[in-house]
Amino acid sequence: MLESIIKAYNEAIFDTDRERALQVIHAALEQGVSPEDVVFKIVVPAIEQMVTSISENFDANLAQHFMTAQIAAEVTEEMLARFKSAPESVGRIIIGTAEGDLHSLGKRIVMGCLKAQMIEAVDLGVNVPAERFVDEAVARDAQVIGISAMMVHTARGEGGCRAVRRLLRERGLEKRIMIVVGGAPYRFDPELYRVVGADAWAENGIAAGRVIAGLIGEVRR
Amino acid sequence: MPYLRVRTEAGDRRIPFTPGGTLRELLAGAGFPIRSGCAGVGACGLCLVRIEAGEVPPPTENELRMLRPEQMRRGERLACQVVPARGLTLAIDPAPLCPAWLSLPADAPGPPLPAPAERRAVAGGTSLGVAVDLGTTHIRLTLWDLAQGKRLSGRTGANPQALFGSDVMTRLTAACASREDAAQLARLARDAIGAALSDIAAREGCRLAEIGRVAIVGNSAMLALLAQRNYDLLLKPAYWTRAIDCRPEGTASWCSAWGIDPRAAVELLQPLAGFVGSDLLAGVLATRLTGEPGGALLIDFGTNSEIALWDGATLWVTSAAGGPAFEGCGISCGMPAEPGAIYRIEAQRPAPGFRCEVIGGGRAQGICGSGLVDIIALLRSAGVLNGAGSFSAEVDSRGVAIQEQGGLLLLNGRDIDGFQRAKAAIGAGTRCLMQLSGLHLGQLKRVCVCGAFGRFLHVPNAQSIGLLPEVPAEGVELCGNSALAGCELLLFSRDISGTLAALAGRARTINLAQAPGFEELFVESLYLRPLRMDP
Repeated sequence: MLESIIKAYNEAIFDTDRERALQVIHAALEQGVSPEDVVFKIVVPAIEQMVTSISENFDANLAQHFMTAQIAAEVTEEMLARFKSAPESVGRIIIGTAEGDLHSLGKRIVMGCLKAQMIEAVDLGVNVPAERFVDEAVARDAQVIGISAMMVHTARGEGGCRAVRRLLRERGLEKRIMIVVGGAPYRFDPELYRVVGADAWAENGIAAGRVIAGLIGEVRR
Repeated sequence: MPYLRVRTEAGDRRIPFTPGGTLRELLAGAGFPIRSGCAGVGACGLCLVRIEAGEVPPPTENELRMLRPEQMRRGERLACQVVPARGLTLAIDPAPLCPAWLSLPADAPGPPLPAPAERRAVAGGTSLGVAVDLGTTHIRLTLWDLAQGKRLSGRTGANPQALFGSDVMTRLTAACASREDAAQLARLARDAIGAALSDIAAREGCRLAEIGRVAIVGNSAMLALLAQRNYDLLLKPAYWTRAIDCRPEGTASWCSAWGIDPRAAVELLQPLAGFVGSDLLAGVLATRLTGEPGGALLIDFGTNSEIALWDGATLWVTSAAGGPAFEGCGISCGMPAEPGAIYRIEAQRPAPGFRCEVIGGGRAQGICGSGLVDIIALLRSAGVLNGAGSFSAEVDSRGVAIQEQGGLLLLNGRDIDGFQRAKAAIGAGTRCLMQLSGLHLGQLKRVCVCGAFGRFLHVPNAQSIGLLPEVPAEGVELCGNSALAGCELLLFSRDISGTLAALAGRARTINLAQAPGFEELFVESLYLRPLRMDP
């Protein structure tokens, strides 16, 4: 039964048909599929499949990618309220785009994916100064700061990740708070994240979930 | 020392090299600058070379991502990713980026010049003037007899700054990182203007020394880089809606380099704000956008598209950077609207298949922006593409064949995505300005489509996929290069600064990235369907 539901959900996602995707999910619940299975066996694998098809063939399509993450976040939000026991949050991340960068679509896609992977994300929006990243991470007791940068100068620049790293060092927070970065410049130069002082980078929302969970584990160790 | 053997149409050349640099760097150093969209980080896939003999390192991750298997089999590689250790034989096609200046055909008759009595006075012996549209991708200029009000000649060619990257951000970043690069960027643009003028002088025999006036319009980044002034501010969002001073320190040395009258007035027409250049203001003048009751929209299609909406009282302006798809750049089978480009496509009857029209006739070498609009609209109405931009199941991963005979041309999923992004930026920008002005679709009387892309546009197709608002056909005007036409008006104007100041006084500049709801509008506008104009 689950197989045919997964197929129907994936077809709706392929057509970016939000209404139909939600119908499929609601019908599944009525048939007795648990909210947990909806998230972990239907929604998350659908994002994984999307990410794979984007990285493996040439059919990258922003509309599909965005809508998949958006629908995933919406379904997850609804399912969380119905989980039998309160879902265990993996941890918390402060997320925003680097100073000087106003591109936030990528960040929104990643946030949708993180939600489905039980990582709590606090969104600071765009053009976020380094001080604000650090202050909010401390105030909200987050283990990770996520910085998105879509342009070479905001990825490499002095006001972005480099400045956050400097502040963490100055305030003695480097063991408590890790930095993860994402965005096109990091994909084209896989060593760039080290150069700007990040602890890790992630290519997409699914990889981000894994990488961030790993960083949270390091902080808590 | 190993050497590169470079095969070109003009013959072979041997370039000795010391291993360590990328092919792109080695070739650029030897006078073979190669197209690039990303300043050599492996992100754009434009710097293609074909390795014909010799040993090369295996493809990098970026190459595996950018190149299709059949390209690999042909020996194609990205010049910025290959670091050769030994000698190689390679071919570069398309030909390396050396500005070849083509005659610029006169556009459809533009607005009339000011009456002779209204024109700026001409000093004796310097009765020639030049209008320049300094674009990110192309430079276009025209030479005028100022006394007679007569166009003498025109040229168009590639902006050689493309060496640093196809978009303005890469060039600004390069200029900010190194004073030398900033100087080189300015020199490249200056020299290109000089080369175009020399080409006119050599082929048409005019005397450059008689040029007493040069007017230049462009987007803010082009003007700032040319003037070597304030380009750093353009990387800061706070300045995107503020005036940026792009006046050069002096232009006497430019005049002597160009061989024009040493006292010639070289005027860089100042941009309105960080990302709204004087090219847009010139376009507004040329189309007389503000000359009648409200409801007039201007879209200047380019790599950095600009949009203006006149509502009768306020000129709403913005820029919408959606990538270079309209210029045929970044599209696997794309090319600029030049001879050899497919510019119109119709469904063949009986189906299936397409009937293509090629600029200049002859064999098609690629597809330009207007052809792309047609093919996407046709595939969409045939059900081969869905609204989200995905191919139906019967299309394999290579894509759809636009042409099979005389050179296979394929359109793939990534091409569609690139086009959707460019289209979405325009659609969202248009809708944003409409919302801010409070106008609704029914009040939109004119839609002026500007830029080389618009010349061949099939309006119903463009409307069916949401590139243009659905106003009645007679309301859509294909205006061609209105930035150059406006620059020509200003060349004759007695009061350039007054004219521009009057426009600037009514303008409100919007930064789309900060406009509420822009992202939702952008995502909605990715879809291939008519533009939804009313909220």
